[in-house]
Amino acid sequence: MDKSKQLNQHISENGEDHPEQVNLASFTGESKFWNTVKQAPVGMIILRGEDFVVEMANDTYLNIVDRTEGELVGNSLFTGLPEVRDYVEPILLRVLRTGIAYHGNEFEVTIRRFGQPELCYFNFVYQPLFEEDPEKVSGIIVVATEVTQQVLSKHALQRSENQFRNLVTQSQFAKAILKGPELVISIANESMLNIWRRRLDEVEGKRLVDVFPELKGQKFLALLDEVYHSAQIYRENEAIAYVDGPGGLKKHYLDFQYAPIFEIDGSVSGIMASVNDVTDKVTLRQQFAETADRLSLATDGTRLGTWDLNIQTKEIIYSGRMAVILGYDEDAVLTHSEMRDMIHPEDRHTIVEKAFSTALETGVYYYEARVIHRDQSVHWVRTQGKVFFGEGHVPLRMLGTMMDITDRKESELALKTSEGKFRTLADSMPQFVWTADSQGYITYFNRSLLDYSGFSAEEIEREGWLPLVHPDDLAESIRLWIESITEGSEYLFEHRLKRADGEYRWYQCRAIPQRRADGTIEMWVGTSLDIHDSRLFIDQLETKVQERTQQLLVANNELVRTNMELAQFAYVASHDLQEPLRKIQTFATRILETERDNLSERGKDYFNRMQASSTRMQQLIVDLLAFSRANVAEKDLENTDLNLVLQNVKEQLVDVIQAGNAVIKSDVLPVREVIAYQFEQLFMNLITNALKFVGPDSTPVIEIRSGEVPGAAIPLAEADANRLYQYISFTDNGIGFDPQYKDRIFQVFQRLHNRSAYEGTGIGLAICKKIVENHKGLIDAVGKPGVGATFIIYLPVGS
Amino acid sequence: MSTKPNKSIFLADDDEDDCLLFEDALREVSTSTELLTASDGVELIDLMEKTVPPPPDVIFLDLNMPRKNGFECLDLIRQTKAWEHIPVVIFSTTGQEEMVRKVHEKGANFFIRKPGSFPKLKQAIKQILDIDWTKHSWTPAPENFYYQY
Repeated sequence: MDKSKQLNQHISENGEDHPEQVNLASFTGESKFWNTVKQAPVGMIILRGEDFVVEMANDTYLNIVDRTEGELVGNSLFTGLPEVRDYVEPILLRVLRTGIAYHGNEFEVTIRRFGQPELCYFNFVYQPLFEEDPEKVSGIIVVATEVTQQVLSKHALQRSENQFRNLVTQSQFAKAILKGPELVISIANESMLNIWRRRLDEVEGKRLVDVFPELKGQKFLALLDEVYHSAQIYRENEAIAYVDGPGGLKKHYLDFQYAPIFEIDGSVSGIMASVNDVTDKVTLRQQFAETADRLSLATDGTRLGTWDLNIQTKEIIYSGRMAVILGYDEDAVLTHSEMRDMIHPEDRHTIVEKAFSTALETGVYYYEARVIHRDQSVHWVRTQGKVFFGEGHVPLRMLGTMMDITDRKESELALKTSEGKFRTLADSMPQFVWTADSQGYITYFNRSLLDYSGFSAEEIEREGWLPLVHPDDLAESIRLWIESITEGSEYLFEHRLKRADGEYRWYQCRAIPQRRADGTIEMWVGTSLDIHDSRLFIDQLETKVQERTQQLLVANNELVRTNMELAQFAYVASHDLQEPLRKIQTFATRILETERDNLSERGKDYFNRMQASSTRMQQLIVDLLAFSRANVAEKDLENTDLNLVLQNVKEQLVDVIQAGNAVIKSDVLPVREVIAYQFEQLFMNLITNALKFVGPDSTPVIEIRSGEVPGAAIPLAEADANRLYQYISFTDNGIGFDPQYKDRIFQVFQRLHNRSAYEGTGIGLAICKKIVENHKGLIDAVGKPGVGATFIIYLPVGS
Repeated sequence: MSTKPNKSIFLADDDEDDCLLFEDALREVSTSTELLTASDGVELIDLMEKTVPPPPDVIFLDLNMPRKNGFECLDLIRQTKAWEHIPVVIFSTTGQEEMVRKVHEKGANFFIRKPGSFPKLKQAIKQILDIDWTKHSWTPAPENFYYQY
């Protein structure tokens, strides 16, 4: 084939450029020439004359046309090959007449071969033969090579390329074919043109770089060149390409493939570029990534580590936060088993592995456990996860989160510790400590209650503390407890509680409501305190007090009896003592009357002195009696007009007043609650006193004044500074007294004067003081010798 | 002086001295007046049961007596139909107001504290004898009840 082609070419060249040199005469010997022709691999036939008689046909030619030498040689060519006459006769005639060689290329002719017409293609030369006459063509030598095979292949190739091009054009993916090392755009389909933002006619037949100058500086030209020369496919995903076009430079993410297009001989003739514009996809994914970043930011914010475990392979993907939780840098690379090794040995089997195997069953993963960091510090983590199962409930993946809960756990532990402390404390207390819910049901109680009652915890939980309460105290205990629960008021009650040995002891039970922020009751906190001994003590104390009170009562009765005896004595004194005295007086007067004439003057004087003495004794007895009666606490208080009392006294003293020419001036006195006969006595004594201690050669003047005065203004220690007092004062112009005796004058039998100067028993003012004190009042005396004396009675106002 | 002859007076007093002095004083005031004395309440009641009627013009009654005291006698006299109108004058050593009040409530007609001199005694007896009991109010006011000499 190659040889024939070369020869063909050789002939073709020679035929065109140097036709004179192809001259049979130039061959050295005819026979040698024939031999050569006969054996030539190309078909050769020599035609003579205008009839184109076949002078010679070699074997190759005969083979090509499927004829025998006998059928052709010696006859016109068209006799032997009638089927080709229409195609070749005109050409042969022209060559014959013009003497110009004719080159047929892939000349189509139908030849009957092997019994049937067959379309054949030939490359051939019709070379004119010149003999004696160089101007006259004597014959034609035909050199032909059958290229039917090649042409058919070529046609087939053509067809397949068309198909290919159709394929390219119709592909939904962007495709373009670049021809030759210059990368001339041969075809580009619709999708590609979309990316390019060009019409086909704008690009077809143009160099890629000319259409897209912006590709200079991007990697694609170099890649194409590489593919073209290395004949290796190149692929890349999500390559960034900038393509200019109407609307400006545009960024694309492209998945692309450059595939070399081979020729039949294996050489590269072009490149098919396949492009998938994934810009949208990438943008979308980037948006996803941003969202994911934000999510991760959010999970970081909540300090949540996330992880994704392939249960089959134990491969684990996790967020940076997770590594941080485990005590590593954010970008640390850890395997699942490394993570497992960080679990606290005490928690690994009992908590984590147990939780894991549970999760494989239930699909839910949850645990709280300790992990130990590289620095040996212990941290609490909480893991939550979800298992994804495959066919037949085979666990495939587990997704989850991990969180550091050390702080919460520590405060929880602290709480537990403090609760533990509280319980220990409560249990170690001798008092009962208990809590109840808002409905009043016992929710907690300490050990003391168990120890005391001998009940089991279950019994108390079930029945509360009521079974302990003494039957006599039960109803009131319940009533008050219900009242407290209903009203939210503090419970306080003393009742007897039964001890395990059956003895009842007194307890003070107190419960205080604990309220929530909104004021509703969350729980009751109660305590019960053993007050048995103190209560017994109080009972004993009460008994003692009662005994004492009884004793006091007895003593009081004794006193009352004594007082009565005293009153009896007073009666006896007034009666029995006065009786003999009265008789002495009476008989003395009788003697003086009947025996006057028989008595000497001395005898008469003695009788007079005896009478004076007995009179004085009578006065003493009367005054003593009055004093003792003032002592008796009689409460015959009645509303009394003191003006009338004063009037009564003045009438009784009318003789004395007239005898001494005395003047008594008085204010209007108050009306108040007093013991009337005592006040009469009081006024009597004070006025008598004033009339008695009259200075020599003077007329007695008594002024009685009344008014109100605040307690603070009274110069007596006993005065109540916060009270108002009524005062009644008796002022005289008598002999007065030395202030140093002020206290003395109110004492019994105290006298300031000789009896011969002023008579009196020394009891009068003592009685006055007693009477005033009986009325819760005060008495004061102010005196100045030679000027006078004032006695002031202060009586409290109100009550 | 007596406005009416044959006046009759009962005196109950356990004190012989007082009885003697009373009689001496009475004789000096009135010679015609009959005096019957009893040394205690029991004797007085016996005397009254024997001699009344006719009733005495007035009974002088001591309070402090053995066997039956003046209060008991007063009660009995005022509770006995035949005696309830007989004037009773309490004649006592004491002047205690409780006693005075008490006998006033019980229906005595006067209260005389025994005077410390013979002339006063005579004056007291005369005053009582001069009373016309038919005109006298049965229940004198407390302030007119007590005669002190």
